[in-house]
Amino acid sequence: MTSRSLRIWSLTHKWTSLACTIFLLIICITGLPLVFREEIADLLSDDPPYAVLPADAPRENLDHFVEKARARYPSEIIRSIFIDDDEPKVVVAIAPTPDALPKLVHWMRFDARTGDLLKEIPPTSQRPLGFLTLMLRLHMDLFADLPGALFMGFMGLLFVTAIVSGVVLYAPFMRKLDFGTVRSDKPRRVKWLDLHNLLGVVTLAWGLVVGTTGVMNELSKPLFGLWQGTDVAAMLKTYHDKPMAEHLSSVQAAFEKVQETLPGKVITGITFPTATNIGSPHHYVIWTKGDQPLTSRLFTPVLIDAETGALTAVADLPWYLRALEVSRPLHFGDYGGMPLKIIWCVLDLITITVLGSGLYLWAARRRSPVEARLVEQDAVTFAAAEAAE
Amino acid sequence: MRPVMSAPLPNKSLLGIFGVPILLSALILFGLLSALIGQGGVWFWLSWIALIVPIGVILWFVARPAKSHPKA
Repeated sequence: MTSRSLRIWSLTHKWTSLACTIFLLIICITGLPLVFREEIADLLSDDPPYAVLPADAPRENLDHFVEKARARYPSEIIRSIFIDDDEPKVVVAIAPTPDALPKLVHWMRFDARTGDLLKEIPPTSQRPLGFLTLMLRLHMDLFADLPGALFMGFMGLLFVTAIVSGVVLYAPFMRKLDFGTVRSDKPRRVKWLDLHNLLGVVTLAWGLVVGTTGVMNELSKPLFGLWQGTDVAAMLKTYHDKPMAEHLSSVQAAFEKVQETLPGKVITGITFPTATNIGSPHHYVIWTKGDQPLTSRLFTPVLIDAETGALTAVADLPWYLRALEVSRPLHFGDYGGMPLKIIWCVLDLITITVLGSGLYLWAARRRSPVEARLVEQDAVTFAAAEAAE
Repeated sequence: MRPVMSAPLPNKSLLGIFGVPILLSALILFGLLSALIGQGGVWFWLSWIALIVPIGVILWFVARPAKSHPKA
């Protein structure tokens, strides 16, 4: 490596790291509890357990939940129904107006089998900030919605650049050292340089995967918007002049139609006709997924005409939304049981150590240029070699 | 015989520097994908083992007593 390119890589590593470290520390620290969000949510929940029914107890007709929600909130709009495939619950999302902000949406949670209302969940704007929500918002967007998400996504991009430049710099720093050397008998900053290099290079693949998938997740909203503006718009062309669907057909019938059309798929939710959000003004969007570890992350939406109940289209998602879907488990680490979550947690702690030691190395040595550090590095190495003989 | 300062140690080759990191990165990628693509069961175990090994490597070198002289 020429000294010029060495300097460029060194500056790249220094400035991309410095710019993102504080935000990456926030991300890594809030990420620790988020790895265990399901367990923590269960722990913090004061909900009574579900009624004990036989495992094959039939599920209540979906129209029943719609009627109950409409009866309770006659002037409001049903946004969507979430059908859990894990617990026997159905959650109906309700908003005061079609274009209401997400923080005004509230929910009714039902037992999927008995049809009983289990809980009314008020909108986030009327609830005290929960621990997991606090962690998630700090992690995702610093409470700044889309601009915050894009900013944190950019920080993730800087983090990935810092990893790549760090790998390039690893070579000149290690040209005289065996892999894994930790010179703990040398000055503290030499020891921490070795630890920074060792921890960073060993976890590099995980850091790159979780970093890039994190960036991908931050782009979720614009990517769905892109799909809505292109593919969905094209599918809805023939509906262009029609007014928004008013006399809605049976949700249960739409559900059953999709079950017949796509046997083997699991239906996880239904988006009601919407003119302002992701979806269609004239259709139920029925969200289906596969039942294998990977396919259960891949959704296929089906459009059912909300007035006639006819199937309009099975909308395969474009590649960028497929990439987003695959990037979710790879970012969350929630696809390999509790051992994988613990591993995620340990790798996160290692990343925090790499970030912290990087900050320390910068503070301790910011006055010496990279060549000087390498010269000193070699001098230390040779002196050590001589002393050891 | 003692080595002298004027006879520097040879630089390691790129493979010498990156060999172990490449192996460990391949292991991590395998671990990440096996639980995702595999159908549970043995693939979960392979994933856990593949991801624990790099953590073990770090622990091994961190816990090892100081040994700062490079092998010539």
